[in-house]
Amino acid sequence: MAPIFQQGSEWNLLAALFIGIAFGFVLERAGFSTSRKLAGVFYGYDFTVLKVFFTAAFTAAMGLLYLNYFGVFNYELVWMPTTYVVPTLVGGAIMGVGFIMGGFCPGTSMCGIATGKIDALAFVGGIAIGVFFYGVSYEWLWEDFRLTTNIGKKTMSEVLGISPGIAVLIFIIFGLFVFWLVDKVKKEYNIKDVEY
Amino acid sequence: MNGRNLFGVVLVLVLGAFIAFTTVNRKVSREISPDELHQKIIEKTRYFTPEDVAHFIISEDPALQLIDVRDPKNHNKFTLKGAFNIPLNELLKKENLAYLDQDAYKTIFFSNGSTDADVAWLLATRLGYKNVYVMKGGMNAWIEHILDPREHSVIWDRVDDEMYQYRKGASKFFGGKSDEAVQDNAEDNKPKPKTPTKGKKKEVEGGCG
Repeated sequence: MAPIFQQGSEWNLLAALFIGIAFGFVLERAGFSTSRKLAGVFYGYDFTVLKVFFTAAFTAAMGLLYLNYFGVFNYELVWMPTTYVVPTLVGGAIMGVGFIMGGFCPGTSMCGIATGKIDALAFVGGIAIGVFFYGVSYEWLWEDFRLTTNIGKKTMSEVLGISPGIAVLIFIIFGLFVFWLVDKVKKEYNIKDVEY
Repeated sequence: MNGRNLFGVVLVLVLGAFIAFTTVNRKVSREISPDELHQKIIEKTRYFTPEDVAHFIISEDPALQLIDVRDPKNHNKFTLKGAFNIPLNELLKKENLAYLDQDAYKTIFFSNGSTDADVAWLLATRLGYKNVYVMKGGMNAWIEHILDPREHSVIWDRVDDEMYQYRKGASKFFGGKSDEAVQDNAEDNKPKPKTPTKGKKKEVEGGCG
């Protein structure tokens, strides 16, 4: 919350609490706290999640660039994780399998628990077991692997050698194309909207 | 595609297209890092000599902004033409910082010596204000070089002479000691280290007119 609170201020935790509550509320209102919604993306009967996350991504990307453009926001303060290509692919695959099997992502599972869903409770139990397994096997399984294929802190625009603005525009066009595509798929295969 | 969807798509595309042609400003915060500040401190490009300042005033440089950081008492007693007073302890007041928040003027701080002006420069630079400078030596140097110029060197060459003539001209302009008085003083003047000369050897006519 750099423009509102100082970096490293205790108020950041409080801000995080309210942002988290707002995030959970919106997830619930969008119907994300049911596992069927998320699983729908993979089984091809509901693409809401895909659309929401694409929209969220490019809204956030544009928001950052616009705030920067108006001089509110310091681009250099954005924390960025280092990219480890192969470990990211492996981790992404494991997480994807978890998504399909469980029908939740970590955030929505918490929303699911808040609304009293048993499968969400089981899912969070699974997360805890996974974290525990990762912890005990870290030294002999993951420690060396975790830091391989390090390409540093890279954004897509840096990898492609274009300006961040152009990269965001390309991402928006790609996102809109995907929206169009999934709508077409739904129409083509005559998939009905599902009520939960 | 219904109307609402179309509106969303167009809005996102227009916003995206606009931002695509902007460049990311990686330094929004104007405050400079300690490394940069250190570099600026040791560079010493912040100094203008009193001769430079005299030249700016005589030629009525429209981009000149002189700020006297001494206290109001000293300021009212004697100051440079066109200078206004922002005492050092009030420099960080919002209405005073507004004078620094521009790129059009070169702001030159001065005090009795260089120290207070240097502090003002340091604060302004740290806050990211551009075009701030210091008059080297402050009012002491001003009086010594401009209002009461003396021949400083035993080895008198053309450059020294031009500088001396220039100072004398400037002295007249600023109502310093008369020509004869300067000559008299020059007689019993002890040799002092030469002050570094900085480029600008301007014709004195402008000042004498």
